[in-house]
Amino acid sequence: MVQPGMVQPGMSQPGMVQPGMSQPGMAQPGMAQPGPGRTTSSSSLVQQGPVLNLLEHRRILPTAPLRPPRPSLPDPHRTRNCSAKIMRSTINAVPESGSLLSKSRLPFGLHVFPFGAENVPVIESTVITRCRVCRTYINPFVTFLSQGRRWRCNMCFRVHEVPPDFDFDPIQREHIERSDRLELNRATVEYIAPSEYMVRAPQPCVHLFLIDVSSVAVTTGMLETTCQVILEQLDSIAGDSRTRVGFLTYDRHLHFYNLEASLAQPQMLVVSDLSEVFLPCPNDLIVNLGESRDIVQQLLESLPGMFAGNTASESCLGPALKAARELLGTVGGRILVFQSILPTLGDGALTAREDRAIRNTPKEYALLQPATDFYKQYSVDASRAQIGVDMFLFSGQYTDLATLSQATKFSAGTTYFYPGFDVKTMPEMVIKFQKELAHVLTRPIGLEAVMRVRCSKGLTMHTFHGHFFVRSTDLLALPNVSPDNGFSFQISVDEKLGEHAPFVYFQSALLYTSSSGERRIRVHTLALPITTSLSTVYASADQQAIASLLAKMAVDRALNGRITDAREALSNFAIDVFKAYKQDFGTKSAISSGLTSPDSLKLIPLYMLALLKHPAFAQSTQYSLDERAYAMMLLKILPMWEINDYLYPRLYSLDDMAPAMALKDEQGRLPMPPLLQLSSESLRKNGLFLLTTGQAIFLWVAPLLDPALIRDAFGVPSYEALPDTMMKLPELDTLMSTKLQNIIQGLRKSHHRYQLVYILKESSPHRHLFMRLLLDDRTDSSMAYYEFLSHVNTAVG
Amino acid sequence: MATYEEFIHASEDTDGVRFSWNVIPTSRIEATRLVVPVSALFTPLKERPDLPPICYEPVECNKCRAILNPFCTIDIRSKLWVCVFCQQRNMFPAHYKSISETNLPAELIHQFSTIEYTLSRQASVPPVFLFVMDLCMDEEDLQALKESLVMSLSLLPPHALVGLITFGTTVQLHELSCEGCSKSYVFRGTKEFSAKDIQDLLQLTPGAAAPRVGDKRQPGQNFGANKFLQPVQDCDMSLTDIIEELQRDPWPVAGDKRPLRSTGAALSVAVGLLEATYPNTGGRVMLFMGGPPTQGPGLVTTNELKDTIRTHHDIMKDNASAKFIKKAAKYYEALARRAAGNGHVVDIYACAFDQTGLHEMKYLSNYTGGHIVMGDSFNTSLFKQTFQRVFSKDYRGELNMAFNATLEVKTQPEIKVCGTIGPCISAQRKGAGVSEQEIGIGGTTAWKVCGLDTSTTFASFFEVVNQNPATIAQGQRAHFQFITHYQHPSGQMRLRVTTVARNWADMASNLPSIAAGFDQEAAAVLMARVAVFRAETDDGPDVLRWLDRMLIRLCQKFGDYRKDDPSSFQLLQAFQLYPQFMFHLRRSQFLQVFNNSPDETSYYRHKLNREDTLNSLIMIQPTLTAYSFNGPPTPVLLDTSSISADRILLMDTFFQILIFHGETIAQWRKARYHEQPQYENFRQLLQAPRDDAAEILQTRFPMPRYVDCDQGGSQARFLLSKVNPSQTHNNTYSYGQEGGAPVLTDDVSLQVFMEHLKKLAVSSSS
Ligand SMILES: [Zn+2]
Ligand SMILES: [Zn+2]
Repeated sequence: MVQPGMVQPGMSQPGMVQPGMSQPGMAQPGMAQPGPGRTTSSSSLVQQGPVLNLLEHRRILPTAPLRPPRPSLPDPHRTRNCSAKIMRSTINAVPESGSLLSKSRLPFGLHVFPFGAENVPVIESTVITRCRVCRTYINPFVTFLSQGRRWRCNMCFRVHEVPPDFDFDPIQREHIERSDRLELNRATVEYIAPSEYMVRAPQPCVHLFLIDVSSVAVTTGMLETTCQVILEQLDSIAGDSRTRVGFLTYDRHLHFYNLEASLAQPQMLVVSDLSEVFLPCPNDLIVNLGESRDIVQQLLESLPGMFAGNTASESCLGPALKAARELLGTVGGRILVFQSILPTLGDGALTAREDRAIRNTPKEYALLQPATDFYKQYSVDASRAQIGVDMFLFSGQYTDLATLSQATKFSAGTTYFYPGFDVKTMPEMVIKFQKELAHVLTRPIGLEAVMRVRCSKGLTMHTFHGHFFVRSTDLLALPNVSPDNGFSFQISVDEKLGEHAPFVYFQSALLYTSSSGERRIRVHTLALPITTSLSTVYASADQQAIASLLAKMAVDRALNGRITDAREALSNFAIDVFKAYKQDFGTKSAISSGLTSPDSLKLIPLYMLALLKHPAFAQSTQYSLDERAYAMMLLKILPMWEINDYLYPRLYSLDDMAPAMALKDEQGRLPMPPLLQLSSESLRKNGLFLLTTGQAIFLWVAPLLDPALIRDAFGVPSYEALPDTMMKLPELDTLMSTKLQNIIQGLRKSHHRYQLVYILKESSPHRHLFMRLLLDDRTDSSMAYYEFLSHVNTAVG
Repeated sequence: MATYEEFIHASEDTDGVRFSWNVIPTSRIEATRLVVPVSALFTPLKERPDLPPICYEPVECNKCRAILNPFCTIDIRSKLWVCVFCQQRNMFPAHYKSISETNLPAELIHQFSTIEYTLSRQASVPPVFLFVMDLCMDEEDLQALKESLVMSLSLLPPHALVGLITFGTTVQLHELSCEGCSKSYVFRGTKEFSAKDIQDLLQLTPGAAAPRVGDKRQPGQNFGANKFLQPVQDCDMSLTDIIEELQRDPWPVAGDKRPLRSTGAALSVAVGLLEATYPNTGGRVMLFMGGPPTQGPGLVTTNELKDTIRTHHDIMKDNASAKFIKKAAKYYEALARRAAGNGHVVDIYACAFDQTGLHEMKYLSNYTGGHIVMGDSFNTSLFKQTFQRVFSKDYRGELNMAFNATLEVKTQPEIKVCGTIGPCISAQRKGAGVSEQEIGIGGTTAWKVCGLDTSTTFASFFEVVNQNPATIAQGQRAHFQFITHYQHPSGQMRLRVTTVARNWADMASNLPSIAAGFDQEAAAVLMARVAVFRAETDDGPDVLRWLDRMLIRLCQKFGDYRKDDPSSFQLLQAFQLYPQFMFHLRRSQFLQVFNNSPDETSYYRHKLNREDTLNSLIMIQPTLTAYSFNGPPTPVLLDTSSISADRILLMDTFFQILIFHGETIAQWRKARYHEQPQYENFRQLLQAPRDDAAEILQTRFPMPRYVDCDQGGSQARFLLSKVNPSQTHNNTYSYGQEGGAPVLTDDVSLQVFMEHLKKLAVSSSS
């Protein structure tokens, strides 16, 4: 069963090779390239995999991570279609009617990842050709009529005149063939927007740092680390010569900093009256980084010393945020919050409301609701003012992430979480924070962004997932757009589709200000076939995309109702979909008994069970409230390819890898051993296992592992000599060590969050971190995979 | 025996005391007929280089707490002393056992009627200087002020604590030594801050003991104040850096606006900070302002330039521009009470062309013994010199500045205390010595004086309550003891005790001796203080009428005349100048306010309220000296008749030094004769008043305005407004006569005034 294979490199990731499913040996090329080498087929010709009785397949997991299924389209639609990295539908053949969709019981939705792609072709044109009715951007899927003088919009089917200079290149001042026009050839293009796309002149990139300097922030080294990272990245921080920065520190007081370039040293302005926050000075609190580079550096170098020995144990985050809002005024920008303790003073003050006595009761889940509207309202207001908020939380105690992360929600930001951060006890956590902060500071940033996803007539986007503020019905306001965040849209089929064409289309358009001050529009267009056939609907289902969408829907359900509702919905989905499938196909299929599933949905029970055991929904006291809230947030914003591992982690056996594994091949790719089911059955007493969730990596050292291998891998002579828990993998001059380094580096590069490595053995007090991820296994409060299958089977009947 | 004049001056020199009456009537009835109350001008810290340092504790009367003094009878054999105030017989303390006729402690020796003790039982506390600095001024002024402040650091005793608050739209309290970054606490300019607010906002722990001088520990360290207040010797470098880096208030000001100036909030922070950290310790808040408070508590006007600042006229008519007065005055008065209650001085240095709100803010200085200095700009020698003089040193090289004082007056049962007028507030000491009759700040026998120097002078008023003259034996004397407990700038606590005695006399039998003891100069100043004190609350005309009535009654009582025959009216020598003083007081800026702004009035009155007799007299009746080729410089009458074409006049109004060149002199000067060697004598004539003026300019505090003018020039009006208008456009009969120049005024002349006075004094109907 175990065979070596190849894997596709991620669009923005270096090659990490996985055993292929159907086409061994070939890496999947990047964005906007043809899909896997299936035969060209119309929607009715979708290949249908085998029908399985899941009860008979205990080992259901493929040996390599699934690749997204490709919609079955004719050329040139197929070759020009949008990359699955950017837009990915839960169903790749769209049911022609709402009734067909509901009959399938499948959720229909689209995952969009609008800002992640690199090397997007840029169009510098005086005219941006758009449908005058539905405002769709011209794209490879429009039809030209009347010898090319007119074009039909592929969304609303209206016909428009082609603009007179459409075939003229204003820059080269020459005729241009339509076949050469980028927007007609590439599903992903970026326009440099002319002035009518600007409400105001593009604003400079403003980074405002809000740093908690309470005693905990100082003693844990958070302040020092933060300053050090900012200092290191000062010359590579996103932006251009107009980039501006500001700093605001706070404990029980607010400290502003005048960084006017001509000053001999920074001036700290302390505002201790929190009852009405005000700016102590009208300017120079936010300064041009280039002009004030020296004084900014001076500040960052002095800050840790200035607060060394600070005894303040309070934190006035709320007032600091209000002041930050004032500071950014009409310009907008980004606020980066570094918070070590629960905010206790002024607006937005919180109390430690986690209570052991109410764990796993509905009361506890109520604590996932924000304790105050302050942060939510703040992020809504921030969005209006074009301010994005990112938050870095460090507390080892309860920090009410459920409430605090609201500040990042509507302002299109992200919350980063480093529970128990301490330079003395958790040096690895410090590295994680350093890497992630450096990434956040230097990654591309889009300012003052708005995003809209249009779709063909007959379809409606109705529920949106992610961090944004809905400004008008379908317009998402993103004061800062992050290349790391994804968005998802639930879709309903309202009218009968397919009257004008056998395809539907989705087009996402992101209008933003680049860090170099250009207004740009990034447009992605996806084509999907329409089908009248239920079996084609099932066959084209994307079970990862489905699981991901269901996870987001379950988060909403948990937050709007109760967590048990979410859990019920997840297990009911598995029952409903297999019931529906059985009703239509079960009887016709060769398998008349058991739990029948099409190949395309065979992992659904595994995924649903994984979700039921996920930190976001688990009926378990192993996860703190903060961890739960954090998990819910991640489920909402992680891009598709990161969510997969987060839902159902990857497990590898490393002690028995084939020789070529984990060594870079000629193409620079890294072949990986086959994936294992997350079951204790997969573990051997003499094995070395690696598990990754995309957030962390675990190396599990079994007691009887060959001491030679232990020595090669960890540099200690025996299992006994190995510490219970290690956070740092030694770099040794051995093949095994090289392979481990390769794998860990590869895994780290494939996710934008830096993954900590936990090297654990059975006696480790942290072993539960690993054991609880054996999701196929039974626990006191949850079913084993086989039990779950039986449960679904029984319910399906 | 010496003349009374000699006696008066000797008493002033040794004890700093001048009584209105140096012989005191023995009964209450008689005393009330004196018209001018029995009262004294007292300069508690009168400079006495000859005083020996006394480093032991004073001996107190067991009964009345008066202090042992040379007037007490002692019984060397039984080691007893008898208190002159209550007749209590007290045992000397044990360590006085060795005293003998030839070995007396200083306090019993007659020349030490004034003596000063250095109290060792109380902690030495360094004084605190807190600069409160307006940042809303133009670049030149700010630069000049910064230089003055930096300069002042070198004038402070090294152990003195200093701090800095700046304000404009907001208020900033500066931390003094912060590594890598200058640091200040910023307060909203629109709020008032209590001591508790300041404590909470700055996390200061209250109630910690004030540090001692020489304490190794940083003062205030244990309660957080050392961030803001540090010994000059430790922080002068960093504070200099901070001051030099100060910029004008950065908030934009539109062309039709005044800057937002949060003076009220800044003062509440300053007062609150000292209240929270150094209560009942010498402290000096020094406010420098370049314009009126325009926002927050205590605003005097708005920040709209179109809203002009109130004038006396506006106040009288209750115009819109006067609408902030009540609230602002109430605000500053309350703040002043807080500061005074805690022993802290507030100085106001106001430099601006327009008014700055002294009218509302005067309480701050008046209640606390602080200075008010008024100028056009900080970039003038007037301000710079004056400010430097604030830190002038005494003969020992120590600051001429005392802090956190209590002034107590002891009297014997026949005399009670009506009150005091001066830069102080009541210390609320009730008791048998308190008179029911109140003059000035009454109801107490002790006053709190937060700031005083060697010239600060108080007016104390007494009531003779004795009913039966017979109870006072011949040869007995009335005793007064002034006890001043204060913090010396060195940090030491000191006690100055002045005990004086005055003869009793039965008025019925001995009126001439009482009359001869009249000190008309002191009396004029004392009455001026009462008049100005009244003017603060009463209508101007009422005060003038009261002054007139008192003058007439005095003339009736002590004049020599035949009834209804004005020409027979004569005054004793001791009274001869008094009506003239009253004449000039009536027409002075202290009581005639309409030619000045309310700020100026407050400023003038503030000075009159604290200066000694001589300076006060100059304020009431300016001095005029004539320089001519006809002889040496001579004092001349403050009268139009003194103006002459071939004279140079030097007028000293205390606030102003004016040199006035007669017409001919002015022409010669214009022709530059003095530059020619053959007219050396003219050069010398021109130079003589200049030299005399320079001498005054160099010593006077605050430095007077200096005016150099010619007869007929516009600046000459300053002289013409002061001289007695004996020749006016209304009585031109004298015009063309030798000397003199008519003045354009409707004011009555001294001559007319005297005629009226005589008429009324001799009238049998009044
Ligand atoms: Zn259209
Ligand atoms: Zn006594």
